[in-house]
Amino acid sequence: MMTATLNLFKLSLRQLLGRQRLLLLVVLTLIALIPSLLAAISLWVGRPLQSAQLFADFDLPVVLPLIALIVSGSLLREEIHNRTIVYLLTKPIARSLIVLGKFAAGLLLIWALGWLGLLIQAAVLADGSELASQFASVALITLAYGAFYLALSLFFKRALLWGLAYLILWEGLLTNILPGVKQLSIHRYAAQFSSGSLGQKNAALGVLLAIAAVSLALAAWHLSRMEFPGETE
Amino acid sequence: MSPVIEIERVTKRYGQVVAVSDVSFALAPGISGLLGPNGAGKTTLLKLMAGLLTPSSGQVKFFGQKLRRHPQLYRRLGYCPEQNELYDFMSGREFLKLSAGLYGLADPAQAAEKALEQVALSAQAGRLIRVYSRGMRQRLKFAQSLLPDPEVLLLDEPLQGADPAQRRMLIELIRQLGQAGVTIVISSHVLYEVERMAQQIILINHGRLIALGDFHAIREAMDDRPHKVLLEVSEPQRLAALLTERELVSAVNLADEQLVVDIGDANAFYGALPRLIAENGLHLRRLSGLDEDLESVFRYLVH
Repeated sequence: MMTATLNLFKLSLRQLLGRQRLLLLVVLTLIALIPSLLAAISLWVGRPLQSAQLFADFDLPVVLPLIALIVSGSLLREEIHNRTIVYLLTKPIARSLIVLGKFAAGLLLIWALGWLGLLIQAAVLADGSELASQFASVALITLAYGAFYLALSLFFKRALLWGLAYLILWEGLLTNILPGVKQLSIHRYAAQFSSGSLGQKNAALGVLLAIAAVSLALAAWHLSRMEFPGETE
Repeated sequence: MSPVIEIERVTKRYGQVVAVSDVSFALAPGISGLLGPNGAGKTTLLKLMAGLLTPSSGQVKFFGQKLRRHPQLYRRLGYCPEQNELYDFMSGREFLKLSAGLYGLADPAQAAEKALEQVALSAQAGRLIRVYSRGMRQRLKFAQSLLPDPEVLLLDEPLQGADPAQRRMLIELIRQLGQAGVTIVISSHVLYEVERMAQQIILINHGRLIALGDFHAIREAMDDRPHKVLLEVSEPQRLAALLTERELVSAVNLADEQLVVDIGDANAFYGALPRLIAENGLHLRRLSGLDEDLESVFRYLVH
């Protein structure tokens, strides 16, 4: 079963990086480079931004969740939409491993894009002092966001729309209006992990890992119950 | 020997719509034709067997187990879906290698080449699936279902889009696999093709099982239904009068030298006909049943 899962991982990478996805990859790279562009502008206008500030204000709340949404949200939803999922489901692979194999490939791309953005950002600002911790933050935060959006994409057909709604309305708006809601946002723990105290970091680490684990478990559970009726008979 | 596939009182509902209703049967090795008009529930039934759908009630067993709970059983199953969607960005060969890898086969490349040869697609295997014709896609889907040397093959309209030569080739391949002991379920609405392959038929309509069993046995069991028989005889009008007089036929149609009669009691008709011909000095040139084919049996059973 491991060989099969490895092949599924390879297929997913190929789907993500293939020529047919070139435009999407360009868009994702541009999103990843937004903070670098802002850093360049800040230098040009003579008011240079700090690396940590850029990370906290742009990478964390916008760039990383958006990349995770676009990549993760399409991993299985596209297979379902294109009806190619039937070629995965009728193979000797547990549905939970289908979820994990797909997610692993997506996560690799998300990390690569996140880290690329950070490297260019550091080069533009000539400041790489935060890179190690930011790399770790990217890895953990996108793990949680990615798993969450993957699960969302199985529960809802219009995963991108629901993901954006979560990002803009829930994390962007409601958490600022209703203080209690903040406890239920991934961003809160992402921010705590990247810039909190040691105690906060440890707590946030646990919560983010739990979000990822629960999301993946829910995704696997839902996929195992999903039905794929034919359109015609 | 326990059945390969067991369908036990299976019902599948989508809300108020009943796609499959209280269907039961068991399948052993050999070729079974799954027949029914569009919307009869054929694809639903195949998907239930393939574990892509779960029954609303009843159960489907594959080698005595539930497929969904035992995904390793998929190693013994080849499934060829009706849909034409494939990974268009790959070549046919890449798709088969990938599929063989997903089956966990030791040598995916070799398995892919073997399957390509089986469906005569080797020459086009390097081209992107995007440019494949419908017939080529059909053969590629079929090839991927052959990859694990399956014990069970579920084929949903596998001959769609194939040209006559390809159809002949695929029919021959399916027959060979059936003779080799593979349990094959093939759905189709092209009845004469299924008749050429299947030892038994499963007839469904509106989700209900209409008939199940050996085609000829079903046909024989229906001997009390009206048959049409064509006779080419020297004096058709005289024979028509003789048959009607003796109440051996319920209807007669005369055209040129041909006489088409509807018979109710086949035994009485065929028992009396030779004597009638001989005693009246008639010359019978041809005698053939017009509705011995599956299409006629099917039409009779579903209406």
